[in-house]
Amino acid sequence: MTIIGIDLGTTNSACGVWTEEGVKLIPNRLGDVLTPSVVSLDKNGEVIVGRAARQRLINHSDRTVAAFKRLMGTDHKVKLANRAFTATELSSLVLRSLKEDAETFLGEPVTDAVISVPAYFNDNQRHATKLAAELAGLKVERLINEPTAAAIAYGLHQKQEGMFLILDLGGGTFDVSLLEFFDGIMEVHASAGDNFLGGEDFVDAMVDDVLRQNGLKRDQLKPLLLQNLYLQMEGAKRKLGGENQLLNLDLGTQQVDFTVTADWFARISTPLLLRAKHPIERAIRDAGLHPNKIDDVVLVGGSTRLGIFRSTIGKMFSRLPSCHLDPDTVVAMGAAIQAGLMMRNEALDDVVLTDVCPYTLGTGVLNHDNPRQGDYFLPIIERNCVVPVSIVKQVYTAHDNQAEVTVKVYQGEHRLVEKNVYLGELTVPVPAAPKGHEAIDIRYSYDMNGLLEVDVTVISNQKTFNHLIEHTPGALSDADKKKALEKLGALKFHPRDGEENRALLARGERLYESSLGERREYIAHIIQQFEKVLEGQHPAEIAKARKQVADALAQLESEDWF
Amino acid sequence: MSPWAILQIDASADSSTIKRAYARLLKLNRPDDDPEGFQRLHQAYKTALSQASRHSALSTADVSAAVPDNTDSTAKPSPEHLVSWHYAFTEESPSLQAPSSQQHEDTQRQAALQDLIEQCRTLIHEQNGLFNVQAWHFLSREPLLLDPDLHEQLSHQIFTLLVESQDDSLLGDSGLIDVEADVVRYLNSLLFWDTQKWQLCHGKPEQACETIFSIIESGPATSPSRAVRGGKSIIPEKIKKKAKKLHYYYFSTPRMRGFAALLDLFSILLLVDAIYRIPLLSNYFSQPFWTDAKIYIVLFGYIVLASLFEKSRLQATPWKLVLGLKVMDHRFDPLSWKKAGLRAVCMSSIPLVFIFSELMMGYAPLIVFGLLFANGFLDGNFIQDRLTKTHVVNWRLSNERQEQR
Repeated sequence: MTIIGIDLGTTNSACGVWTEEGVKLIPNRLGDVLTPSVVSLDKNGEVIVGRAARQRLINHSDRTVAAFKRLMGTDHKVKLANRAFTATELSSLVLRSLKEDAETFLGEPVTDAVISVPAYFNDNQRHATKLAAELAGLKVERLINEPTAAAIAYGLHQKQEGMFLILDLGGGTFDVSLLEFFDGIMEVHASAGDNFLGGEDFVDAMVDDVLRQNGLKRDQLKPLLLQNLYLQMEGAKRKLGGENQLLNLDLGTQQVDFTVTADWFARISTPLLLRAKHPIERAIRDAGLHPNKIDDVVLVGGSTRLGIFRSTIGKMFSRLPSCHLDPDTVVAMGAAIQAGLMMRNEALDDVVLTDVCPYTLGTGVLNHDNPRQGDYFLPIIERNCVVPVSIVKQVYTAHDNQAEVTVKVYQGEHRLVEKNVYLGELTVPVPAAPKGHEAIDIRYSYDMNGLLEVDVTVISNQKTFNHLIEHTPGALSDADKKKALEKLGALKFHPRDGEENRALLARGERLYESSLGERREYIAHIIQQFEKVLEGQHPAEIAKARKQVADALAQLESEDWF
Repeated sequence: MSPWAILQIDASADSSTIKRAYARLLKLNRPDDDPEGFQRLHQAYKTALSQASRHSALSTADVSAAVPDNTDSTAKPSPEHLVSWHYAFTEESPSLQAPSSQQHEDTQRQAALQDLIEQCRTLIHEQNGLFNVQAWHFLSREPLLLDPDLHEQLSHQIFTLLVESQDDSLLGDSGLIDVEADVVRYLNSLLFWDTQKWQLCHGKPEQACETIFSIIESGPATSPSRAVRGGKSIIPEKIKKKAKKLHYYYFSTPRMRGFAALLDLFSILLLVDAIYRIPLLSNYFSQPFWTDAKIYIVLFGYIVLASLFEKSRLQATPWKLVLGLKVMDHRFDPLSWKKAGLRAVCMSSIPLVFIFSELMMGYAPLIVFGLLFANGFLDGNFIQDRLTKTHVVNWRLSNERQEQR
C-alpha cells in the first residue's frame, strides 16, 4: 500500500511519493508537476481542475474559482454557475484530481495520503482539510505542517546539522518555523505565522492601488476586466526586477497606460513585508534563541521569489537566505518523505520528527473582577509546546447548586476569550453542591496531526464526557457528510485525454478576448481549425495539430504583455 | 526518575552527549507510538540541556567572565541582545560587534529616528501632510521600519504628532478632526496603531484618539473571501446572532404575567369575534354552537399562538413584549421547538379540564382556580415553567439593572 504526500496549496498543488530512489514528484495529466488549485465547471456541469481551469478564469470567471484555500474552515460558499460549493468541497475536487493522477502514475489505487497544511492553520481549518480528503476518498495518515515538510526535504537533501529558520511564503499564508537537525532528529523549536499573508495579497495590493489611482472601486469593474487586471498584475509581479514594465490596462470606461516600477511595488508591498516581521520575531523569541545561533535561513514557497522579500529578509538577518530546492515543490517533497516515514520505509529508519503546537489552546473562566469584560482565557496547552501532548487543568463551579458546566474551547493568545478563536463547547452535568465544591478535570490532547481532543471528567462521580456539541464552522455531521459525498460523487470529471486539448482551446479563447482586429481573426481561425481536427478524432492528427496550435499561440503570447 | 536516568547518561554529560542520547532513545521510542513516554523523554532532555548549559556557563565564567557562551544553542539570550539584532543599514554581522561600536550604532540609529520624526513634524505642520497621502509614501522606503524597537518608537511618536496637531485645530466639540481618512489608514498600515490602541491613547486627549481609531476601524474590512478569485458570487457565512446575555436575571412577577396573559386572551377574543363577523362564516355556524365553541377556540388559539410567538425571535407574546417580558430556557437561551411544545402541552391542561369537566364532577372551575392560585406562590416560576425548565424573565428590568451596575 502506497501513501502519497500532497501539498494542497493556495495557488498550486503538487503530490509526490517515496520510492526506493528517494522522492518522486508525480506529474499530472498534462505532464506538469504543479497543478493550479483552480476549479471550474464547464457548460455540461463537468469539473475541470488545474491548468485548463486556470485558463478559464478570464472568460468563464463565473464558473471558475481560485485561491479558495483562504475560506477553509469557514461556512462561506462560492457559487459556480448555479451551484454553491464550500472551500472544503472545492479542495476535495482538487485532491480527487491529484489522487487520480497518482493512481495513473503508480498503476494502483491510492487511498492514503499525508497532506500538508500551513503551520498556523487552526483546528477548524485542519478539520476542514481532513474532511476534504475524506470527501475525495483519501484517508489522511498525517497532517503535516508546511514549513516542517519543507524542513524534512532540506534535512534529507543536505544532511547538514544545525539550527534552521524556515520562512514559507506561499500563495495565501506565511509560516515561520525554527528547527534543529542533529543525529537524524528534526526538532521543531517554535512555529508562528500569519494566515492572511501570501503572494495573492501582493497582487491584491497592486490591483487596489491601480484602482485607487484611477478613482475606481472593485465592484465598478466587470468580472472579466477585474480578472484580466489580476492576471496582468500577476504577470508584472513575476517579471519584477528587470526594467520598468509598461502595461496597457483596460478599466472599462478608460484605457490607461500604467508603468510598473520596482519602486512602486516596493511602496505598496511595505505594509505586507512589515507584517511578516511579527511571526519571525515571535518564533525566535519563543524558542529563546539568539538570532546569531541560526545557521541558515531557508526560503520556501513560490512567493519567496519576490526580490523585495529576499532583500528584506537579508537585511533583517544580515545574511543571504538560502533557497537550494525548488520553492514550489519542496513542501510536496517533504510530505512525500513523511509518507515514507509513515510506511516505515527502511531508508528512513533513523529519521524522527518532533513538532510543536503553534498556538495556545484553552478555555474560558469566570471573570470576577469585571464581568462586563467577558470571561478570562485559561491557557491549557501553551503555544510551542512539543506534541503529541496531553494536559489536564482543574476548574471549580462558580455558583451554589450549579447544575452544569459549559466548557468552551478557545484558541489564541489574548487574555480575554472574546478576542480568541472559538472552537466548540461541551456541557457536562455536575451534582448540586455549594460553589467551589464541585470540580471538573479538563483534559486537552493535541496529536501529531495538530488536531485537538477535549475530555471532561467530573471529579465527584468520575463521569467522563468528550463529545463537542456545538458545530464549529465548516464542520459536517455524518448525515451532511454523506450528502456532500453524494453531491461531489455526482460531479463528473472531464475525460482525461481531452484535458490537454481543452487547456489549449481555453488558452486560445483567452488570447482571442485580449486581442483586437486582425490578430483576433487570426486566433479565431486557429481555434476553428483545431476544433475541426478534434471532431475528426484521429489521435495522431490531433497530436500534430495540438503541437502547431501551441506553437502559434506561444508565438502570439510572446509578442504580448503576457 | 532524574532526567539523566531517563536519558541513561551521566549527570556530568555535556550538551552534545545529551543530544546524542536523546536522539538514540527517540529512535527507539517514536512520538507516535508512545506519546506519554515521549513527553517524559523530551522533558528530561530539556531539563538536562538547561542544567548542562548552566553548568558550562559557570565553569567558563571562572576563565573569562566577559566571553559569552556561544557553543550552546539553548542558552537564553539576554534581553539586550534581542533588541539589537536587526540591522537595517549595516552589513556587519551583529555577533561581531564590539560593545563600544554597538553603543555608537545605537546613538546613530536614535539620531536617524529623530531626523525622521522631525521630518514628519514639518510635514504635518507646514506641508499639508494631513491631507496628502502621497506625501507620506517616503516612509515605506524607510529602513528604520524594519527594526522592531525603532518601529515601536516611530509608531508612538507619529501618533503623538498626529494627536497634537488635532488638539489645536479641533473645532469645538463636534468631534470632527482635521485629517484625511486615507492618511490615517495609510499610516496605520505601516505603523500598526490598531494593535496597540491602549498604549497609544494613554494620557492623550480622548476625543482625538477616539476619532482616529474610528477612522481606522471604519476602513474596508479584510474578509477572508476578499482574495478568492472568480466564482459567480460568494455566499457569506451565516453568522448566527447570539442572543444578548446578562449576568443576572429578574423573573417576572405573577401579577405582570397574569396581566399579559389576560390582555393576550382578550386580544384573541376580539380577533376571533372579528373573524366570526365575516358573513360567510356566521352563516355557516349556528349561533348557539358558536357561543359554546368560542371559549375553546380562544384558549387553544392562545396556546398555539403563544408558543409560536415565544419560539420566534421575539421570545414573547405581543403583550409580554409590550410589558418587557421574555421567555427563555434554563440556560437563558431562546426556547427550542421541544421546549415551546412542552409549554403548550402544559398550558393545554386548563382547557382540557374544562372539556372533560363532567369527569371532574363539577370541580373543574375549582381545580383551575386552584392551579392559578397556587402559581401565585411560586416566586414567579409557575408550574408549567418548573415542568418544562423554562423561565419568564423581566428582560427590561434585568437590562436596566445591569446598565446601572
